[in-house]
Amino acid sequence: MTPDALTGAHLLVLALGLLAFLSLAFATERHGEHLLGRMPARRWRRFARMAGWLVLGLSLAFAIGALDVGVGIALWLGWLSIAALAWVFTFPRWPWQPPARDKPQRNVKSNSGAGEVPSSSPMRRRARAISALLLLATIIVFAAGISRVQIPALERSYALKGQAGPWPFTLVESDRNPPELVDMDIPMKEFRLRFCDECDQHIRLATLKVNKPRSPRATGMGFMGQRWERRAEIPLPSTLRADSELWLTVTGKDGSVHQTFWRMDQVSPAAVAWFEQQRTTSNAQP
Amino acid sequence: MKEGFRQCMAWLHTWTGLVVGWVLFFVFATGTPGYFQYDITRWMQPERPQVQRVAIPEADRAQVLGRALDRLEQLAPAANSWRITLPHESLSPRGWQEFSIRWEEAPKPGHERGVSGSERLDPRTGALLAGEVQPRATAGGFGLYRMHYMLHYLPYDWAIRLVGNCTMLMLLAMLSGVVAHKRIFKDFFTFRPGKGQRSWLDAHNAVSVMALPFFLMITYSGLVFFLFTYMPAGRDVQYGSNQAANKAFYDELLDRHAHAPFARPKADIAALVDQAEKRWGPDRIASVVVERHVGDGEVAEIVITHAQGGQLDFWNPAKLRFDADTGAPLPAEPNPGGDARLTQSVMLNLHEGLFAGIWGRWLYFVAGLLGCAMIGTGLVLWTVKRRRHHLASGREADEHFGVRLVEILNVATIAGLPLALAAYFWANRLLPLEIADRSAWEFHAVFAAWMGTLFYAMARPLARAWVELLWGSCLAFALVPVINALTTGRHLANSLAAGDWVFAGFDLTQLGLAALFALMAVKVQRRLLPASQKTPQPHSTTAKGAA
Repeated sequence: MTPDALTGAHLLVLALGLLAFLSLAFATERHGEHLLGRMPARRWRRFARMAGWLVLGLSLAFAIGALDVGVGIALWLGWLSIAALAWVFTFPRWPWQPPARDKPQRNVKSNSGAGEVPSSSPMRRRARAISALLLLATIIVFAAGISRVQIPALERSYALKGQAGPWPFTLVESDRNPPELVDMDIPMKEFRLRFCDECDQHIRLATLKVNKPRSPRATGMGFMGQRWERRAEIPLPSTLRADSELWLTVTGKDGSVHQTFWRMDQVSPAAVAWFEQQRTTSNAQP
Repeated sequence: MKEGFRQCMAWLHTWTGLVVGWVLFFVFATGTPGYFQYDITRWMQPERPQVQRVAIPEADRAQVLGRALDRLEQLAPAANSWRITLPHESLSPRGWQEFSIRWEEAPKPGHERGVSGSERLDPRTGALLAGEVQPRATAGGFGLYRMHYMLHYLPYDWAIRLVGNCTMLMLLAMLSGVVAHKRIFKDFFTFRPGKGQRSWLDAHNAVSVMALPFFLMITYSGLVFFLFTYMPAGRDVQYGSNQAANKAFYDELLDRHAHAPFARPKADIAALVDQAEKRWGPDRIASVVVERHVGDGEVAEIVITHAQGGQLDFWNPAKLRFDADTGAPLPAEPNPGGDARLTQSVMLNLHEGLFAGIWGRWLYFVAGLLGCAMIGTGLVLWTVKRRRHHLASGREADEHFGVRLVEILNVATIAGLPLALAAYFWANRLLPLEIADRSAWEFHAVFAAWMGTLFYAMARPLARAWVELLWGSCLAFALVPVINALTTGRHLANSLAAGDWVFAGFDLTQLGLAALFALMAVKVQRRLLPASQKTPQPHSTTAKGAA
């Protein structure tokens, strides 16, 4: 089943297809005359038709034999299309065609008369100018957009560098916006984490949680993905304050567990500010 | 009312084809590279090293597989699935699959999926290999492929419905086209070059008729893809339409098993692999999976899976099941979903063409290009016809807004979209490596370039726009290998010398496409801008007789 072994089979299907369609072309009045330079006898045409269909059948049988039923039929049809199209665009260059009967120049003449049309009215010229300006604007907007693109989250200046046991890493919130509210108004925040290149394959699992984990079995949401970037989206508790702690738990493949934490206002000032604001508005209400 | 049935069909063909023509051209132009999406992705991540094809030496198989099991046992003792991927040639993703292990733990309560992980192993020793280097951020070939049904910038639900509606109209246009083409058998091989509208019609007919099996298949199976989005009523009546009902439906349809923990198999896996190899031949085994289904009397089982390919039912390759403790063969599981599911799966596989080897993929690729040719010639034919009508009625000076619009859209789509797609590859090599959302900017580059060609087509006289944008597309494709050579070490000479056919093939294909556009440009130029005419031909000249 190597591609090399099947190359011959594919090419044979194509060759048989070409042969079959050539034969079928001989069998038609129009193309037969065109190809032979004279009208083939009826008997010959019938023979050519039979031969064409026979070869088509043969190539199908061969394709099924070589490629299995389903694949064989599908690719046989594909090769037939190619074979037939190859003939369609070769026949006009066929050397022994009968002399052309109609004048091919007719259409072109009526076409060249169109050159006298007044080329540009003032309105047309204005439309062109606007289009040119739009083209220029497209280029400028694209260039401006590119030049304003941010650097990736993990390489921003506020990304936190840290070390969990022997493994250095970088942690950052995906954006500096307030938390996103999902179903049932739960505020969520996404974080990204990357371990150093050599360490990554020694990490089994990294989890993230606001407030110190109470048990080693509930260390929060796991980071998904591996290597260049791991991501986790965690729910934030309504009690979150500036001095709440964000705990990262890293489990190595050797079974060792390392923990580290930051104050929430170090990691996500926007989230802290958002919770403060929530509290003031709810307190202000009677 | 139109006179007869055939005239009705011709009318239907013309108008359904025109209305959705540009969307369909986009769908075909972005879907066609999908047949090489893995190769394209590979090219778009030049940092990844060329894969070495190393199989597990047969003499060391027991020892190497034993080390893989040791590693799995150490890393994931409480897993509910262990998978050992054996080195083999795969059709999806295309290329050599390296020796690796993967595990998945039971999901924690409240979670849908458990923790999973994977490692690459050395096939000669079973030792742990370092992870791969970080490739540049790119959406790759899959991003390009995804555009052909999700468009871009549009919400998913809108996009697939929009594409679905256009596909439906295309099916209609094809069927009505067959009826309208009254000399379909008589003129089977007819192509008369250099005769203006006649030639366009001949080319349109020839391409459409010859590749009709592909067009019918690709259109119909495209609709089957989103069966339950386009026609959800049947499912919704049976199961309900909310998310839980949806999950229940698919669980039942796919016969998904819940998994239970298991212990390390006592059976000799190497011996079972030998047994499978005797049956299937060397390097044809994709993976060895250890799992245990939840249920009374379920034993842990070892499933050995054949590499995909060789049959239209692509996603259900042959499997051998064994009892993990005794090594005794277990009976084969029935195909989930039965015959209906099998039919749907075959439809989808026909559409994606993953089952096809390298020859088959090229066939699909060429067929996709023929699809572009069919839609393109059809669109041009419309304007050629209208233009004649205008000329005949002596109203050349009246620029009909509709005709002008169609002509501009034709130039911008047929000549401009390829340029925009080449811009995708340019962006991959030229955008700074360290910008955020880099893959999004690759797409922005495509659509900015496409919009640029639209404004360009509006700003230039039509005949000039055709010729210049065709040359532009030619240049854009021709320069891709050049930019590749300038920005990476993997230029054409290098990849040819290294026998890296993914890179060499990609570069050569770009050059081939450039040649194709050069050919089109020369033909159109000869027709539209005769050398004798010094003054630029105004827009009233149409893209006549380019073929």
